[in-house]
Parts: sequence; structure tokens; C-alpha cells
Amino acid sequence: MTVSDLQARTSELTGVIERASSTQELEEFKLAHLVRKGSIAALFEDLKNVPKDTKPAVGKALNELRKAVEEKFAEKEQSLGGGVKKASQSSIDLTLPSRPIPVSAPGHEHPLISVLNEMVSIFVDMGFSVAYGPEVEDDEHNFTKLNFPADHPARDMQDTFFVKPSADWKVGSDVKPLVLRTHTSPVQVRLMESGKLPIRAVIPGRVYRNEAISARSAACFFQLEGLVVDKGVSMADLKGVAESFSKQFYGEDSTIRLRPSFFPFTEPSIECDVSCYICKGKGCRICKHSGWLEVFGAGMVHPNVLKMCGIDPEIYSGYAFGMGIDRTAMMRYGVSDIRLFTENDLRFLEQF
Amino acid sequence: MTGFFIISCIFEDMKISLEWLRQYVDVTVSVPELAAKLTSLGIEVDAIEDFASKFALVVVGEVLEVERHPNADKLSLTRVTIGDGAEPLRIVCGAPNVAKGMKVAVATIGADLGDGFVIKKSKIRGEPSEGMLCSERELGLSENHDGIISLPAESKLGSPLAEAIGKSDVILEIGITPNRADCLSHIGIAREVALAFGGIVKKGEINTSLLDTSRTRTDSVAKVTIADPDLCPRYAARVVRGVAVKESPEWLKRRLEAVGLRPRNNIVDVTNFVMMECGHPLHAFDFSTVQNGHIIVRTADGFADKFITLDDKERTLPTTALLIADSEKPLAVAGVMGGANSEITHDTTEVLIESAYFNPSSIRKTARLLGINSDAAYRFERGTDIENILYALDRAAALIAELSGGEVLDGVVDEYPKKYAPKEFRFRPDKARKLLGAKVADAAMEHIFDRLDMTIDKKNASEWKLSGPSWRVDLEIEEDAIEEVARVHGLQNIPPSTFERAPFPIERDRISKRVFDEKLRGQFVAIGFSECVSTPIISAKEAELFGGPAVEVMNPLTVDLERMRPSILPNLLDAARRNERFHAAGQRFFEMGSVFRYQEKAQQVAYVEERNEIGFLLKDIIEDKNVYNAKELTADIYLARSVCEHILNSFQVEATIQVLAPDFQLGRWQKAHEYFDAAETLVVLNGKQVLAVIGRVHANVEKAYDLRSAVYAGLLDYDLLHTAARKAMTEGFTVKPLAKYPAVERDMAFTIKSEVLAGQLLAEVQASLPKEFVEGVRLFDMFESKEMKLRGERSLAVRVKLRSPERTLEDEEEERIVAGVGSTIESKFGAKLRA
Repeated sequence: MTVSDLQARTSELTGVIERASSTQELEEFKLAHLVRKGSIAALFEDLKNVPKDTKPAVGKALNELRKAVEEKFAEKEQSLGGGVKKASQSSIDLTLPSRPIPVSAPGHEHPLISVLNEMVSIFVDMGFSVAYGPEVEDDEHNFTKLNFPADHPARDMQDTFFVKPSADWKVGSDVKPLVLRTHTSPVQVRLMESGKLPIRAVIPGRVYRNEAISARSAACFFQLEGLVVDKGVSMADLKGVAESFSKQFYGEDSTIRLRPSFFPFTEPSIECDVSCYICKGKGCRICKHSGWLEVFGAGMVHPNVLKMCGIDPEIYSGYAFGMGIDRTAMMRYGVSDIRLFTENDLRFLEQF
Repeated sequence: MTGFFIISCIFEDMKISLEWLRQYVDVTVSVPELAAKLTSLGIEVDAIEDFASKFALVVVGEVLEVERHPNADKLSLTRVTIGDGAEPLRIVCGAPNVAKGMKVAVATIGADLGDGFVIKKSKIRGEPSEGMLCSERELGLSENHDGIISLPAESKLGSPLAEAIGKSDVILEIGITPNRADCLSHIGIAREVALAFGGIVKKGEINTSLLDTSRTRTDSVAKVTIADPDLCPRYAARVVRGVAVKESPEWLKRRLEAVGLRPRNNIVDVTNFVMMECGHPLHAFDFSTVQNGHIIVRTADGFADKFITLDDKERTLPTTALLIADSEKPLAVAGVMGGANSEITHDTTEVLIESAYFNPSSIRKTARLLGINSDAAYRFERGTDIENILYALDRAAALIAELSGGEVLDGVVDEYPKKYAPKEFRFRPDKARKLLGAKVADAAMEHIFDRLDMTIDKKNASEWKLSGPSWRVDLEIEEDAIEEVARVHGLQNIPPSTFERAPFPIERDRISKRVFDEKLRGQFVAIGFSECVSTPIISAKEAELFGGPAVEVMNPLTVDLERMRPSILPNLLDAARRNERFHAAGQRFFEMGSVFRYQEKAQQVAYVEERNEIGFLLKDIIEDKNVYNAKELTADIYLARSVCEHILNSFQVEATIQVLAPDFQLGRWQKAHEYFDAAETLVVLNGKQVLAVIGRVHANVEKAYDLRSAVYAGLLDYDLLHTAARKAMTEGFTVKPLAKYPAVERDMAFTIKSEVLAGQLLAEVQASLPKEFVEGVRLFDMFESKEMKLRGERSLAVRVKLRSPERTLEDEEEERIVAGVGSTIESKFGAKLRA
């Protein structure tokens, strides 16, 4: 390897670049010469065999060769419009008709939405309609009208995400901050406020809570609530619906157990457990050896809530219930980390 | 947390010692039965710690002999007696500390050590073993596994280990709902036990001979002034003199330890004991630190702003905080935590015991503001029994006198400016039966209220007057009493009703949101798209790229979660990045959900506009070349367009798709001019409304998301699409008669200037065909040779489909039509018909 060899080689390589007419040819050139195992790297490798006295001059020429080739390459790449990151060329004909998208296999429904829809369908078949409401809510609908006392711990900063009500809102303004709804219950309030009675509806939707994200808790998850308001609605009706739902969703042989509980917006309040569908009530890891799974909270709509929504509790009564979708889906598919549901990793989604 | 089911997270578990509970009520049933019954009454037993039953077959033994195991260096052969007179047990043991004469915990044959580990007769390295000598870890006592347990020498041979180590008690972990403050003590739980199984509750007995033992009157040395009776309606105190502060006796320490409290000294321990016994939190002050013996109950406002609590932390006091003070300084944050300055120390000789009632919301507010969650605050904020104050005070004073040798001054200081009056409310037995849907007799309900110590006035047989006992602060309205009927009568005794009263809905939507949703998802899934669900909260930096003004979260968890997404796209790009990292071969995603921004005009909720959006994304290889005979196809704008068309077609929604002009107004998608590449963006219009935008994600945005290859995406307006779908469905259509005559297809390939757009050519072909015969015009080939390219030309091949509704078209007629089209195109665009 001599200085003149290298000079000849330089003009040879730049010539190839010059003649290239497509980005593909350029790419081939790059693979042959410019990569770590390419021809130029090989020349550098050979440098150790050059006699000591000529080594500095040859080394210099080799560096020049590399510089010249790289510069020429970059220049050509620019002129050919190569490089995937660049904006596409204006020559593209957007009026070409669409190309049908090939399908080798169907895509996948998200497990949370599948579970939610399955539950909703069960209630729809039982004569419930479906209601929706905003995820950004005001304090009145999310708390006040649901009989949450002004200083209820649930209103504290650690649980609720607060949102500025307008773009120019400032701290200290008279207008109260909004919240990301902490439950789907504000939609119950909206339904009752609308004045259209009787009501028999389920409310699916996303809810938020401001808690550290971990395998067991997410900042955002799904709920399904139900509300029935009519003349003469009783706890026996609630129990009938709970039983029917459990049998349809958890299996014909499942049984339910009601326990007294407490929620600000229902009185009496209950917790509904369903016999563990994994061990059939014998006790296993999933049900923490109790034989029961906590499925939903429920109760008779609190008279204060009815009154605040303009409904006379002496004429009407109602029941409400609510359940979490994420936990149900976790149990059904043996998902141990709730975050998998919102990471949208194809390796996860493709299993459904 | 709020909402159904999630609310249970805020219930804290309380520990109840069964041994302690038995002091107040007879428990005649088994532990599981007790737990089940309490749970059915709404007192949820979450866990039972029953060491004695769990390890009934683990007994005290003594090691008689220790020899080396012939076949293992680290094992020993032992002979252990369990005092049953039988042949000593041969047990192989691996512990280094096993020694002759040691008293040990022996798991005998049949003992179940949990997780399916049952002790059996076995051979270990050829030597028989008839049990196991246990370490603390093996019995769940601690993590210690360095050696086996060495029991005190006096431990009785053969007695259950639980007895020998003082673990014979059963601990119930109970979740108490926030309304049942009355259950936050052993007596409280005893009342529920008596309610469930009958029997009477005996309160802890006060040794009255130890009270009022001094001739000095309490009110001669101590004075109480309540500045704000709303925040403190009652404050009672006693003073004990000559106390010796020291360690509590064993029985007291054991009680406190059983429920998870750390013993401190005989004074503080008594106050905690009384709280856990009857539910009323007390506080003990070093009386010598109280200036002039004068207690003042007042707010911090204008009095003090800094205070060191007894955990030695300096606190900044909220002005609204209620304080226990003297004339000079605060002594305690009322009902929340005492102060370091008046704490009981080993030098204390005079104690003032406080037994008071504080306003629940005031306590809750102060505790939250100070970030203190004490046992006292927990009870005060849920509501304590104001009528139980003197009992708790006397109980504590007598115990302190007994344990510290002090004398209790004569009489009680009891400031009670706001007297308790029971809350009376009406109760209609018929209403209860109606709301529960259960036939519970009047007499049964009366019996239930009676057992709950409620006051019943039945003068009006159909409308009773009820009031709860002073400890049931939650009984305020008729429905509260109905709940009592429900839980005591038994929820299991309410018959399920299958009769639904609400009529079937009459209003019908031709395509409800639910049906529309399901169909949309189905269509995406059918063409290979997988559904995403993302957290709709993103960073401010991301939000800026996609429009706004973005809705701002005031208390974000992290900087990544500070804005509500103004578009679905950032979430889809995030998914693309994640999957690119895991080398997904090709990506097709869609997501539906709310997007948010601020508007200048008021919306349903303040100024926040919340809309539904559908987003889809495709990237990389769309057809897998690893499938035989398949061509490699990568994501491009034409494929993206076809996705959108597929969705529109499936709802029979008509739309025009056009190239996005730079000055086109996109409304809420205006920012798409920037986040999509201007050269590759299409806009989908339904009339004048923008139904969708499809494009290649701009290189700058791809870079911001660290994406290495081109991403194509589309955004559709959910509501507009839904409306259009509903309209198409409502309007409907009439079927065309089936064609009687055959169609013919003719192909034409033109060599045409590259600048002529395919769309222009197709439109012109369509226009120049006789309308009555055209059934379709489509591009079926596009070709560009090197030579053509040099000349600035390309070849576009068009297939036309012709048919007459009345006859079979003649060959010459077809020729004439095609020739006519050919010459029109040639002259119009200077093109050449190739075949």
C-alpha cells in the first residue's frame, strides 16, 4: 500500500458514488465500503504492515481517502434525497387510489374493553340502557351531589387529580378547580338531574386516581356502574340483578353473598361477593382462601342524593352498583401487573 | 378513594384480641363462626391470626441426646422427649445450635407448617426422623433461621408451643367502615358480638376506691376554659398526684402488643389501653408544665404558629387548628397529637388526664394539614361517644393510681357547654319493608332496635320515633335504621326479586353508541389492527406537538402526566416506540377515546371541550415477506387511505378524500399541518365537515418519539362519523335490479407526463365515457422505466368496466368508445395510448 495507490483508490471510489443513481445503489456502496467491516476499514487494518518509514505518509493519505469518500457520499445522499428520516419528496402522487390493506390475520381486541363490553351486554339484555359522561368533571357532580361531606378524605389532594377549569385560570380564583372523575358516579347524578324517570342504565367508563403507579394500582382504570330509579325499587330488586349478573358473568353455578358496607351515596350500602369461580368456593390463592371474590359495591340511593338531584325520595327509590373492570380482567386472564393493560405491547395484546 | 369498591381501600384494619374481647362478652362459638357472623353484620374480618390452632401439634420438647449423623456432616441425630412417657422421638436436625438439655419446639407427626408442608415420619440420609425441631422462621415468628428456637428451661414438656411463648391469643384483623366509629374498640366489637349471639356486654370495671383519694379538690388546682364550644363541646379532666412513672406490668404490655401498640410507660399505656378498650382517646399531660393549672381550649389563630409535637417534629400550625394550651403556650394539638413540652417523662409526678370530645371535621382538617394520622385523630374524626367521657376518665384515673401509686384528686373538672341531645328521627315500618323488599314484622324490627340500645317511641304505630344510643353517631335518618334492620335481619334473608319495574326503553337509536363502538372495533380488528388502551394523560411537551390549549393537571403524579391528551396520536406513537424497541415486525394499532382542550366558550364542564376521537397507526412491513409468495409491502399513504375508506364504507358513509392544501382550515386538527408531513397528508370531508385527517407523521415528530422508520396515521372524528353513520342508516337505500346483460372490461395503458396526476387521468377517463354504460374506472398498473424517467414520463394503465342495462354491447361499439377515450386523453394530456 503506497500513497499513490491510495490516491488512485480515492478517485475510483468517488467515481462509483458519482455514478450512483438511486438510494439503493448508495446503500450497497455503504455496505461494501463504509461500514465497520467494509473495504476502507480493511485498509486501516493493513496499515500495521506498512514499513515504519512510510507509515506517517500512508496513514495521512488513508485518512484523506476516508474523508473524501465520506464527504462525497454525504453529498450524493443529499442529492438523491436518501435517508429515511427526511421528509418525503413532493413528487409523490397523492391522487393515486388507495391500495387495499393485506390481511393475513385479524387484529386483537383489548382485554379491558372486551371484559367491559361483555358486562355491558349482560345488562343491556336485562333491559338496561347505556349512559356516558365526561371524564373531566366538576366538584358538584363528582362529590357534592353524591353526598360527600366537604372535608371527606376522598377530596384530599392525594386521591384526586385536579384540573384547571380554563386556560387562563389562576390559583386563588373564585372558580373551583375541576377534577378527573374519581368514579363513574357523576354520570348517575347527570342522569337523575335530567329529570327523565324512570332510569335503568349502566355507565361504563374511565376513571382516574392520583396514586403512585405500581403493579396493583394505575392512575387510570375502568369502571362499570349501574343505576335504577323508579317507584318502589327495593333491595330485593338489587339482589335479583346482582344474582342474575353473577350467574351470567361468572357461571351458572356461582352464588353471591351480600355484606353490609358503607358508601356516602347509598343507604343501606352493601358489598357483593361472588363465590370464587376458580376454586368453586373451596379457597385458593386468587380468593385469598376465603372462597369469595369481592365483585361490587352497591346500595339503595341515599335520600340526600335523590333530593339534591331533584327527585322526591318519598315517591321514588333506587339502587346503584359499581365494579372495577381492570381487577376482573386481571383475575380472568391471570395478569399480575395492571400496567400491562396500558403499555400496548403487541406481545401482550396479541394473546387476546 | 371514592367510588364503589375502591372506597374499601381507606378502611384501616384494626386488631382485636380475642382474649381481651372475652373480658367484656362471652364468646361461645368457634373463631371461624365468630368471624363469619361479624362479617355478615358489616364488621369485616379480613384475617385471623390463630397461632395456637395453626400450630397445635407443635409442642415443647427437651433434647436428651445429640450424635453426629453417620452420613452427613451438617446433620445431627437427636433423641427428644415431649414428656408423654413414651419412647423419646428420634429426630434428624440440621441446626448448628442443637444441644443436649435444650428445650425446643417440636413439630410432631401431622403438624401442618403451612403451604402444604406436613410433618411425616421419614428417613433423612438413611436415618429415621419422627418430627422436626423448628426455627422461628419455620413457624412464621420472625425471619430468623440461624438455628432452632431455644425455649426457657421452665417451659412445660409436652405443652403447646403457643402457651410456652405466650401466643395462645387469637388476633382478628377487622376492617371498620368509616361510619362505624363505635366499633373502633374491644367494647365496640363486644357489642356486635352480643348483638349477633345474645349475651350482655360488661364494661371494664372501675376500682372506685382508688378515685377521689386525696382531700385536695381537683377544681382547686385545675381549671378548664373552652374558648370555642363548637369545636370542643365537652372537656373533662382529673389530676393524679405522686405518680411513679415506670414500665407497665406484663399484663398491660401484652394487651397493647397484641393490638400492635408499643408499650411506653405506665401512664401513657393506660391511656392507650382505655382507648382500645372503650374507644375514647385520652391524653395525659405532665401537670407541672401547665401554667397555673389552667387548660385553655382554643384555636392557634393569633396565639401560636410553631409547635413541637411529641414525635419531636416542629410543626407549623394551621390557624384553624384547635389547641390545648395554657395562658402562655400550646400543650397539644387537640385530638391529634400531644406536645413535647408537656409529655410524660420519668420525672413526672403529677398527671392531668384529659377526656374530651372534639368536632370531627375540625380534627380531620387539622390532621390532614399536619399530615398526622394518629389513633386518636382517627377516632375523633369519625366521631366519639360524648356520653362516655367520664367513664373513660375514671377508668384511666383508677388504673393509673393502681399502677403508679399516685393519689387521685377529689372530683372531676367537667366543662360541658354543649349538652348532648339524642337525634330523633321518624321510622315507618312500611317504608322499611318497601325499601328492602322483604317482609320483616314490626315486632322483629322493634326487637332489633331494642338490641341495638336504641330508644323507640311507638305512639304512632305507622310512624315511630327512634334515636340511637350516644355511641352510634351514624344513626341520623330513617334509611340508617333501615340499614340496621337489613344487617341484623340478615341480607341473606332478603329474597332476590326478578321483577323489574322500570318499563322497557322506548327511545331507540338506529345505531347507539354501544353498537357503533362495537362495530367500529370489529372493523379495525378485521383488517389486522389491534386495539390500544392508553392513559390519556401526557407530558406538556408532547401535548404541545398535537394542539391545544391542552387541559392542565394541577397536581400531576410525575412530569409525564401533566396534560390531558389533545389527540389520540401521542399515545399511538408511544405504543409504536415501545413496540419498535421489541422489534415488532409490523404495527397496526387503533384506539378510541376522549381528547381534551380548552375552548373560549363555556362547555358542558367549564371551558373544557371533551370529544371522542378514533386514531389508527401503521408502520413498517404490512405484508410479511416470510409468508411464501408474499410481496413485501411497507406502510404508505395509500394503505393508510384504504384503512380509512374501509371504515367509511363499512358504515356506508360517503366522503371525499383530497390532498390537504396548506391553507385548509382543519378546526381542532389545525396542528395536523405541522405534525403530519405536508407532502403526504389527506383530508376526508363529509360535506363541509372534516371527518378525518390521514398522513405521514412528520419527521420532526418521528424524531421526538425516537422512531426509526416512517409512521402513517389517521385521526377520525368519532361523533361526526357516528352521526354520518346514523344518517346513512336512517336514510337507507333501495336495491338496484340485477344486471341482465354481461359487462365488458377494457384496458388502456397510457404513456403520460409524470406531472399529470393519476387522479386527473382517472377523472378525465370517467368524464369521456358515455354515462349510461360506465360501471367502473380504476387504475390497475403504474410503471416507470429508466428511459421513461429520463423523458419525464410514466405509464398508467386504466381498466374500464362497461355495461348496458338494455342489451349486450357490440364489439365495434366498445372499440369506438375506447378509441374515443384514447384520443381524448392523448390530446388533452399529450399522452400516448400504448395498447
